[in-house]
Amino acid sequence: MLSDEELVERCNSADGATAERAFNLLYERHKAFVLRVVAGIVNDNALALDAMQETFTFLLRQFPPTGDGLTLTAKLTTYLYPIAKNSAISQLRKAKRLPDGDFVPDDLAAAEPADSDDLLVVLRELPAERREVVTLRFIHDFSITDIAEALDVPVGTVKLRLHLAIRQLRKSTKVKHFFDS
Amino acid sequence: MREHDEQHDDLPEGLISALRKGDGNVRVMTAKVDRELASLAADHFATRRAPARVFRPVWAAAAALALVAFIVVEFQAPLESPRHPVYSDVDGSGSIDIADVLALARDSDSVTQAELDAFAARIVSLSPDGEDS
Repeated sequence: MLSDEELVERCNSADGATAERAFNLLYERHKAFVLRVVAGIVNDNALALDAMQETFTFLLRQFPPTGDGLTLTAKLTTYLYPIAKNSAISQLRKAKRLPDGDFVPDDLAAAEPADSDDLLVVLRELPAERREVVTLRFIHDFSITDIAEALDVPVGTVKLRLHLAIRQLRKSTKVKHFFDS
Repeated sequence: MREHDEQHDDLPEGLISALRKGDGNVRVMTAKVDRELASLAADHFATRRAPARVFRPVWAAAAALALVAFIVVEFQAPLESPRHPVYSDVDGSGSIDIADVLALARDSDSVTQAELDAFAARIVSLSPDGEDS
């Protein structure tokens, strides 16, 4: 099985048919991840699909002839995460569900969760920045370094947010039993 | 103390499993986006030509055939054979000499380098009167 790096290299410089196949493979491999990221932000299927399409269109345009080519310095999911996040926020703004201007993470905490499951409710109770690192760390299996790179923050900041998030979860009556067992 | 702190920076396995299970419930039909992205990708990469190296196997085969043909011709038509046209007074000077080699190299497309070399070597090895020594 070809690695993401090999597929990206083919997208950069192989002949048209090979590059197209490589891109389609990357899409199939990572579309579920991107969809989960955007769906977690927009909480709307139509907007999630638009954001997902925007994310992969952005990726496509990095390759020649429109782009200079992509050099992966981290995992592809680390590269895709901020693109997906920004696409989702952009869709929310277009749909007038967010005010213009700087993104205020806590606005999302006010949104009703699509699922009444206790775990999702508990996650939603976390401040957005802490929820984000918990999601990346424990659901998408990012390393601390990957998270720092994806969010463009220092590793120490990631560790602090994670520490505070877990401390808050420990105190939650809805998930406390997981820590006690 | 540091180890204790780091232990608290992890979630229990049960909670991680439950979070992942809950997160997997994104039920969205992506067929339309799949098609649109596939079409975008096809258009995007359509402008790239196949690289010239695709034709290398053809050229390699042609070169191999030429080599085989050369070997066959070289070993089946010795230079000394009366039927061989190479060793002759090419320029019509009345004698067979190095000028004939040069004329043959200049004017003939079918003679090989090996034949020219053999022609020249033969001339050099001949006695002054043109006969083998």
